[in-house]
Amino acid sequence: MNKRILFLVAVALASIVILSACATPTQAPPAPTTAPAAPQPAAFNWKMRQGEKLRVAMVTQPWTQFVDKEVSKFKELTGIDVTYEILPEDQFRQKTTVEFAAGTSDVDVFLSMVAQEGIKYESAGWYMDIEKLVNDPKITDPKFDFKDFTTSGLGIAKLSNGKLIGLPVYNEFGALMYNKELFDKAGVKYPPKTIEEIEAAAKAIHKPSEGVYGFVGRGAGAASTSQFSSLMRSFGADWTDASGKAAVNSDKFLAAVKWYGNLHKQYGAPGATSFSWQQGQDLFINGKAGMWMDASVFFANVVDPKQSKIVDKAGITMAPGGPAGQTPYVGGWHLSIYEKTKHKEAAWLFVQWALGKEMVLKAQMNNITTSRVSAWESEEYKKANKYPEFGATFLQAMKVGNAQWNPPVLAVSEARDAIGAVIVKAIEGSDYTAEAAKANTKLQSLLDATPKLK
Amino acid sequence: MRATALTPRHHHSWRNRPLLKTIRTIAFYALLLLLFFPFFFVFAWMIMGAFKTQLQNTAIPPLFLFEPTLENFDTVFRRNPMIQFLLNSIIVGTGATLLALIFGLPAAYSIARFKQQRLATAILIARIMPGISYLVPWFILFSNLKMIGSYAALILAHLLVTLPMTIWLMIGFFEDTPQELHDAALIDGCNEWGVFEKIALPLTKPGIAASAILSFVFSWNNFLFSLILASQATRPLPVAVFSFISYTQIDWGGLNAAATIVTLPVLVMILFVQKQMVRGLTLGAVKG
Repeated sequence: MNKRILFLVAVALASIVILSACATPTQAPPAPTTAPAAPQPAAFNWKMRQGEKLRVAMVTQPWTQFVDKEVSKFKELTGIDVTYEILPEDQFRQKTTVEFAAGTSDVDVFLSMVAQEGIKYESAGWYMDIEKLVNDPKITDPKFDFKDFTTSGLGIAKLSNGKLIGLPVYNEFGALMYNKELFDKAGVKYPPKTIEEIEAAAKAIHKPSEGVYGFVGRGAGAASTSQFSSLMRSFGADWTDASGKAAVNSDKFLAAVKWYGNLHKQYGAPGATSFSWQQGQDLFINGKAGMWMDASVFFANVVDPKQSKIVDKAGITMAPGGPAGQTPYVGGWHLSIYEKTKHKEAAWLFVQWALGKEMVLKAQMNNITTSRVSAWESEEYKKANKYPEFGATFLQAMKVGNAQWNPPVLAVSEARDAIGAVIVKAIEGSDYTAEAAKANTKLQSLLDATPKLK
Repeated sequence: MRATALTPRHHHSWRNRPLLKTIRTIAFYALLLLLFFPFFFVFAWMIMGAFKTQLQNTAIPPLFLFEPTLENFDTVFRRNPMIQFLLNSIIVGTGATLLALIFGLPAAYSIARFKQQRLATAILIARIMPGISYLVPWFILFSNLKMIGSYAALILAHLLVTLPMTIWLMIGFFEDTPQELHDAALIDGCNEWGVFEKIALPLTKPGIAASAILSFVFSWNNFLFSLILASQATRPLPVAVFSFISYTQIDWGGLNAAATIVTLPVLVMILFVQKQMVRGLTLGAVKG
């Protein structure tokens, strides 16, 4: 029976190990802070929440990595300890959604995208109203200068009910990037601005026998709808009509689909219906495509010598203008505060620090397309910027852009799947009108199932 | 009759021709290569990618000959505490495997011995349920116990993967041990625990080895549970691999280098224990 005893001892040991592991040091309760001092406009008290602990959940992207390097300075400035977590987009969404749904999350500050998950998060009550914090002089640095953010920039953090639930960390717009060398070779003028100019340029550049294509862009179903939204508005269409009914089979919407499909069919790369941004970028940075329609945020990759072969040949302009003008979509991530945070003031201090004028200018100098006009117009940035046309285009896009790059429904991915199928059919050259009718019915049912925001 | 008489001679003369024999051998290996090419290619491409720069990785057409760089491994180890992640994976994998054996072996023995089919089915159902459906309740539970991010939470969660597998593999092994041995032991004065310990366990060693290895591999590869329940400090390797995919950029070199580092230990382990594992698996599969 000796072995039996040994076995039991092993079990006992194992449970001790588990129990002791359970007892990992729990988070010390935040030290009680002194009552908020009377507002002193002269010197904002950054140390008002000294000793507290924040958990910040971020998505892997350039701005996140930029802040990661600076975050120790926040600890110095405020005495607030920060756990800074970074995960890729899909995994980040999985994790935060599970945590928030469980209701026991200790996330305080997180990145989000209203157009993607805004309705879901807001109807679940996960976003804190940022405007209230901005307007509270007791906890807001008088030098924060909220008015400095671009209008469209703030638009990406606003819900349809007008509530501001975050502040933009950077912005992007629906862009058309072009290869100046290929344009020169084909004898075409740039930048190409209208759908006619783009079609003509694509035709002149397109030489599939040499592996060079006139135009590349997204065609992989759901992945293509966001970029397509710029084009949709250039044709005067939108996801819904004025009364809020689904309108993705309107004549104008179908005209945009037809034009986009034809452009791919005639002057696109093979396999376009499987293209997301990676495939388009691969062809474009290898000098194999005349034009690439995608988010402006990728321009940083295009002009990075470590990644691109066309650094000196790249140009950028807004997504094509059509019969209804030129209205690129505007997107980006925004920093939000979890409604159930136990460290509201500390969280707001973090947001103010990360998106304050000083840090934003620094981010701008690190090739991040920030949302503060002061950063874009600073002498420092203007001097360093090698692509002046980019700055001008960006600010213009922020004036005319539209932040509704997704259909206004709760089940965004289902809607994107349905509408993406229409685009795929158009590129393939099959019956996209029937598919559009189907997509419209689907979108209407998703709209009906979407809760009205209060 | 004529055919059977002819064949051996024909066969004989055919075998004697060295040229044909060589062709046969070549054809055999060519076919083998063709069949295994897709499996090998994925690994080869991953390892090649780990030694390429970003420009080389996205080159059109793809590069097969290139000047290799070690830069990616440098980034992997500098950007991520890889050793820590590796350690995390080992701690969680070992813990989940050991606990699965401690609880799974007696459970499987009891199910096999006393024909507790319903219990077996219940355990299987627990495994068939999609893992994500456990996550919200687990998160609530573990966060109330202040266990989020602890190794214990990860090990307990991974038990959902390792325990049912161990039990189900071992049921077959225990059922295969001859009833006569049990009866003999009982007559000789052994109790049920003694039979389990002195007869059943030694007889099923290959099965135990196979379950342990598979448990470890499954725990090593588990992504979802680790993602949700780990903290930055207890993150195991697979979660770390994803840090090379960003919203606007995929660092192919870093991703491949990290993937190579994650795959290598398991690959080496499998090479060493594959005989044991295959024997264990086939033994369990064929019932006497």
